[in-house]
Amino acid sequence: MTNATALARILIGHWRGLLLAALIGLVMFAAYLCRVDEVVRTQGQTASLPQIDLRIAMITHGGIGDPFWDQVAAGAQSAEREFGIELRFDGDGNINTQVRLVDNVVAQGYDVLIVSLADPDAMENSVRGAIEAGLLVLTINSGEERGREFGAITHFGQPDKVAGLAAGERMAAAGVNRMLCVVHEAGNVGLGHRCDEAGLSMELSGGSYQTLFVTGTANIRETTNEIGAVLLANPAIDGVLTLNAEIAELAQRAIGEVAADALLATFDISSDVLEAIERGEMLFAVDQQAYLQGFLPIAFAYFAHVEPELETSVVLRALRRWSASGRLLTGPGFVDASNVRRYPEIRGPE
Amino acid sequence: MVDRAIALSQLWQRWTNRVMQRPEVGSVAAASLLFIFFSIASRGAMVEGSTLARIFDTAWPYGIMAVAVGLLMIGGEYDLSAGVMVATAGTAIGIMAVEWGLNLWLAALLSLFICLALGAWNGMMVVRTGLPSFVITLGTFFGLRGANVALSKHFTGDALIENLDEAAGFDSLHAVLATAFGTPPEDFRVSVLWWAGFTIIISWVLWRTKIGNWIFAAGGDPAAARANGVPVSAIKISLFMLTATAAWFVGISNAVRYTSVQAGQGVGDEFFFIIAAVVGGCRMAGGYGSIVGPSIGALIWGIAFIGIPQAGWNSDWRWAFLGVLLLVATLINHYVGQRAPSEHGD
Repeated sequence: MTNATALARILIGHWRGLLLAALIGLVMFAAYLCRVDEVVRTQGQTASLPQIDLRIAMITHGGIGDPFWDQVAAGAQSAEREFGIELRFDGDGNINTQVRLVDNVVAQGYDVLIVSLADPDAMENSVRGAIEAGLLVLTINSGEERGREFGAITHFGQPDKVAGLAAGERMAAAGVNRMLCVVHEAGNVGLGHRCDEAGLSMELSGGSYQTLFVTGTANIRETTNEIGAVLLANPAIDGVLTLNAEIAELAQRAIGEVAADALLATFDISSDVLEAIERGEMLFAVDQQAYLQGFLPIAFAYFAHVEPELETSVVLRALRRWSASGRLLTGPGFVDASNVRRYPEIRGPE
Repeated sequence: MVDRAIALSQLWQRWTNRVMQRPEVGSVAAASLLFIFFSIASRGAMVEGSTLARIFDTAWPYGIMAVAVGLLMIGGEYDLSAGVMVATAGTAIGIMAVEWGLNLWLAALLSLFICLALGAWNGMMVVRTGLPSFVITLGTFFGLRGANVALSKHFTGDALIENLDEAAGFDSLHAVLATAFGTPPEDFRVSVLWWAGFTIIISWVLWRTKIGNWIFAAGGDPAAARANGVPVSAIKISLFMLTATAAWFVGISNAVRYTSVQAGQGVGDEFFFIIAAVVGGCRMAGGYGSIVGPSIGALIWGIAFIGIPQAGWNSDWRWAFLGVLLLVATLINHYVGQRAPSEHGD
């Protein structure tokens, strides 16, 4: 009896510790409950597609929630459902973070890495490491040349220099004499190429250009003000070229706010951009097919892992031939007043 | 049996009393719990060598910075320019090595002088004007944020400086700052050892030297400290310069590791350094904290960052998960910390 009392007293004396231990036990049990289960795959919607065990990671330099990369993610996710593979989609605009996301994917034993190389130098070790570890590496959106040098198999995207040159030509043809090129990701090699080549086109036709680095999609108010301030200070600017659909909308707002007399054109499309083109408020948009940049590399990775004799889809066989050259160009396409009405029909629902 | 239980109880009491006196005990407990949590949630993937390598690789830049920022916070000040100063160090070494063709070691040394000068500026302004360091270093933050991109563009024509590996002295500097041990993905960077070294040295300074006592005094009650002959101004300026040195070290380490520098980076990172220090038990008002704590705080960040994908959670929710985890870690720390009779307490 006294023994029991003494024991009880000791236990009561440690009630905080015991409570904490109980809480920890509860949390650990919760962790056990929400542990990773064997991934339940949604069966491929096309009955003829053979099911294979494939883990694909798509790591981009776009932050989560960026409208452009959301379109890429939509394409990737529909490919995930279609081919019944396991997909991890992630990305971060901070190069330190993107490097670590890629390294982690390699450590987790993924089979395929699909990566965008905005800063190829910084990504070199990680991409080479992934290839050494036996991953199939594909590049999307940016970093075609360096990616191939590192050992990436195929690139899916639009050659930035070609697109920039063509965009500059169209700006000049529309009568722009002094162009402002808005860079929304300082340090993105591909964006620099677009501006430089567009500027070259301007200079070839007797015009001039200047580049403006803005905060970017992370702070749209600040970015709008930055564009507006430059337009106000340089009334000679009669054309603005943005490199992202969301930035285009901000530039349009900035032009309106400071009542600048400048034509506007952009890279990439959104429904707002298409409407603006239809209303005649925007010259054109360069389309690089964000959705396809998400969908196609997963389709490629899938059929690269399927035994050829099992591959029954004619479409996939055609796609394999197409991308065998090491690049599958998704742009530049141009949307302007001449084709904007048909455009949503051509693209289809996403 | 009761005797044994009483003996056990007393042993436990003595052990907890000794351990609980350390200010970092809360963060160690939080880190351990978080690690065990993710180990279970990821079916054991967390304890694999490759995952541990990723956790430490994610944590070390935050760790080195949090050690310095934590010490500064114990000394009663903040540095909001610490994040972009990492980019300043990288941009400086990039311009000097790639554009001017200097040897990387010389470029690194000159870039250290720049950072030390910036740190001294922060410290002098805080000490001279008496304005909150929050405001002074916010000014430096904006100044550097602009200067990094502007100077990079002025000298190189771009906000991205590439090809650092072609500069003289690259191989030796790379060996010192960015060597990897082991084969990927089980590779540990030498940076992790540097981080451990800084933690040990600065921890020793804080606990075992007169300077350490001065730092606690300067952060706790500057007026009383001054009255007792503590060189508060010199201490604070030195702490800002130490933070700048840490930023320099992380900046040039990244530069030689990636062989490229993005001038626009580092914005917002300053908060992660402060968060790591706070999670690690440094009091926001100054005068209390430890150095192992901020290091553990950075480790908690690494565990959470790597643990979330390992557990297979949706990355769209990453920041929300991280927010909850940091709050939980701080709560655990706070609970354990309350029990701890503090040496340099309130």
